[in-house]
Amino acid sequence: MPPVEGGAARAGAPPFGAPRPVDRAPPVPASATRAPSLAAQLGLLWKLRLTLARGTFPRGRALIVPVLGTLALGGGGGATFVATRALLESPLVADARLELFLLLLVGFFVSTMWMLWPVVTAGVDDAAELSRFALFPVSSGRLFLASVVAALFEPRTLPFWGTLLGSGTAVCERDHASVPWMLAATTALAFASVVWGRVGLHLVLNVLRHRQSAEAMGAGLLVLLGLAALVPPPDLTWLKEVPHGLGAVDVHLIAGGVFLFSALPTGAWAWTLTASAAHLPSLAIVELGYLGCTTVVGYVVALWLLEWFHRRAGRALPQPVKTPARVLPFGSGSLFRVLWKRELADLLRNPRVRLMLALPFFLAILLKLVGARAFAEVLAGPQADAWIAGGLASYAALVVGTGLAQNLFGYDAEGTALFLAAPVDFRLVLRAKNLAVGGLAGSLVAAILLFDAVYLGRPALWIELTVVPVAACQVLLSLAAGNILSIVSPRRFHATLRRRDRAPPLSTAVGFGVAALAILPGSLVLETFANQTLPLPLIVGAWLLPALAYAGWRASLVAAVRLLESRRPQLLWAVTRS
Amino acid sequence: MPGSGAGEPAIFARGLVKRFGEVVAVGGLDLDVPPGACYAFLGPNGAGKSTSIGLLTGLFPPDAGVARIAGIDLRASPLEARRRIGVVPEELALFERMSGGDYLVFCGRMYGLAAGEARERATELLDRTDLAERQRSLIADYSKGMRRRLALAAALIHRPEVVFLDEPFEGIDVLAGQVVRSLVEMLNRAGVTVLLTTHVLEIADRLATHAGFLQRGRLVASGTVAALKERYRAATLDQVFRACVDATREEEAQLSWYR
Repeated sequence: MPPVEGGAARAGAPPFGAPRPVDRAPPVPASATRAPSLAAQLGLLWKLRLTLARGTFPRGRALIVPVLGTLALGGGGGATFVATRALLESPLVADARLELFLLLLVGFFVSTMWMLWPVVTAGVDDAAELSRFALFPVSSGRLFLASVVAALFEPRTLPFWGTLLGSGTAVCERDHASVPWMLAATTALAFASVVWGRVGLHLVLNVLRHRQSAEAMGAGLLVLLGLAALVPPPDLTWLKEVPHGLGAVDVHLIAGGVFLFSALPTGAWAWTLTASAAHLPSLAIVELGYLGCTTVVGYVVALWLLEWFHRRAGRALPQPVKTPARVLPFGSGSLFRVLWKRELADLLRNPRVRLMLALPFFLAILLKLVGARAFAEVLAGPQADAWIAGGLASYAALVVGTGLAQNLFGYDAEGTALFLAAPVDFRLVLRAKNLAVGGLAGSLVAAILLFDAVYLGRPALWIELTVVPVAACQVLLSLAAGNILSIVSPRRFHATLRRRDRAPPLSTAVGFGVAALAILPGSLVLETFANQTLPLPLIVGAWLLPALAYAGWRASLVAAVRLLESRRPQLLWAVTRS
Repeated sequence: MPGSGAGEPAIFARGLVKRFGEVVAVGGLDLDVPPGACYAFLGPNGAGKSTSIGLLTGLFPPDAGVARIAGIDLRASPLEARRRIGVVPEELALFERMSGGDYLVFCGRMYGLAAGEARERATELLDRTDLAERQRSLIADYSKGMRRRLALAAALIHRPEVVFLDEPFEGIDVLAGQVVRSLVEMLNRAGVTVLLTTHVLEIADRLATHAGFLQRGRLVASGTVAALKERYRAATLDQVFRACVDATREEEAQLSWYR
């Protein structure tokens, strides 16, 4: 054998079989094994969060976060302070139970939002934070503590702090509650919200990383649907009294509300303030103790979920699942048919798209659970059914329209190169994609309207006849805008629930504009219903909308193909880079 | 060769330029690859090889210059030229949520084959690339080597006259490499022109009849492998590479805290 050149040979490698020097671990300097201090870790986490917050703004990054932070904390807190004080001074809130009820509501809603926020915005950064830090020489407990403390004071929590501190200060000023007790209660509620928010976040990330996450969520949807069907609709008859003033609401109902919200841990915030104002420190201690106990439970659960996440990190993927044999072989029919069938199959196999399609149904279940029909009746009177059906249909149309149509190549990623390299008229590819996405949106609208008719209410036929063309118009407008945006502002979207890719800011802004434009005719239609005019001309008018939108969509195809010729490398680069 | 005029190179480029903002990725590429050649397109990372392939396959247009494939101008008749090209880009053009078998049929249809013919060729290609058993699995579940073999199969389904392979041996095992290598040899025997990029110069040495060295978007040396070795008095393409591309670092790696 020829002599091997390399480090071992140069250093005089030992004979075969002899213990190699590398088998003995060389002494590692102490500095290499020492974990960073908690303060250093916190500093790093805050810096990371600040950088991420700044990164969402394209310009003026240096100032935007302090300015928005001051606005959120100072402006939000000040506004809440003024609003709470005005409400407490109002003769409408003469009853002490009503005052307590309002404070309980503030605590409940702020805490709920605080808990849901990280779950709703859970993204690749959160998953990466959890995964990447697992490699560092820091224990899960220490990592979690740092994460919780860092999350307590990150930029996005400032509006919550502002609201609680503003309301609390108003109570201190009017009812002479103790400021230290108010601060203690606010901090305790904030800590509890962060901890329970982490429970939700860790749970969601554990589910998302699972290979069958879409199936798990689908099963969750079915369970929720079943449970929601069993739960009787809440009694919201008292809502009808609200327009006559809060004082007109039956005081027994208020007492019931106080009882309900007091039982929740979030009630501790309002009770601590009330106990402090009434000079009952022992009651305040008990309330804070109750909140503390639930926080400890949440802390343990969240930590356990984090450790579970870390234990599963780096595990081998499960065995590949073979797709079942199809009855009809793929590839038959015209090229256009082949193209849209591929697109549709691709979308339906995409877990993110499946989740997207489930969202309107989750919303419908939520509406049922909170008794939204009663709310709608208070707000819209006899047109409640039209508002619910119209709202759900618009939401379904725009979820698909803005989620898929504005980034038509985002999910194709490297596959986009095939569309560009093949000898195919690109207009054919775009039309096939539009048909698949539009068909999916249309099917979703039809399904959600059926769901609404069976599950939520019994909308009249003329409501359905008007809502359908309005939704069709929304889908067509979304597709038209999407054809241009997909070329002008593309971005890779990963077909996995582990990543929550965000659409480019331009797409988001134009998406909102198109959504507003597309919702406008629907709103006018509903408004006309409210004025009790004849529905027939309205229905005819509503059916003219998709015809106009269709012309716009056709024009967008031509424009998109022209744009593509000058933006081929940009498109390819954007959808193939992570 | 259909489409190739007498004496016309299979791949012809004059003064191809591509800029991305202020960065010049390809700065005036002149290239002549004769029909039936296996041309190794070599160069260090960032030399502009993948961008050149993008320009030569019509993935995106050049800012200046002319490119002809089998005698057909890419700008004047892009669809006609693309019909004659098979390409395996560096980032494989695969749809992850299709099965391997469906993907091949889809590619066949995209290149104008009838459904039945596309299915027949797909079946044969799946056998030839050892993917028949996994043809119904989603591409997302394929290993790196399987993906590369599938991408190569997809590039051949429409019987192209010119095949571009961008890093076909990157990140694959010995067996997958063997399949790719034997397919390239088969193409060469069938008279198909192949242009491939690779950083594995031993493989290029074994497969290529011609080679060209790209640096900073320009071709610094080109010709038959034998002529290049003779010109640079080298025994291998690796030595030619070192002689004509001045991007080598000979000093020994050192890290201060490992001394």
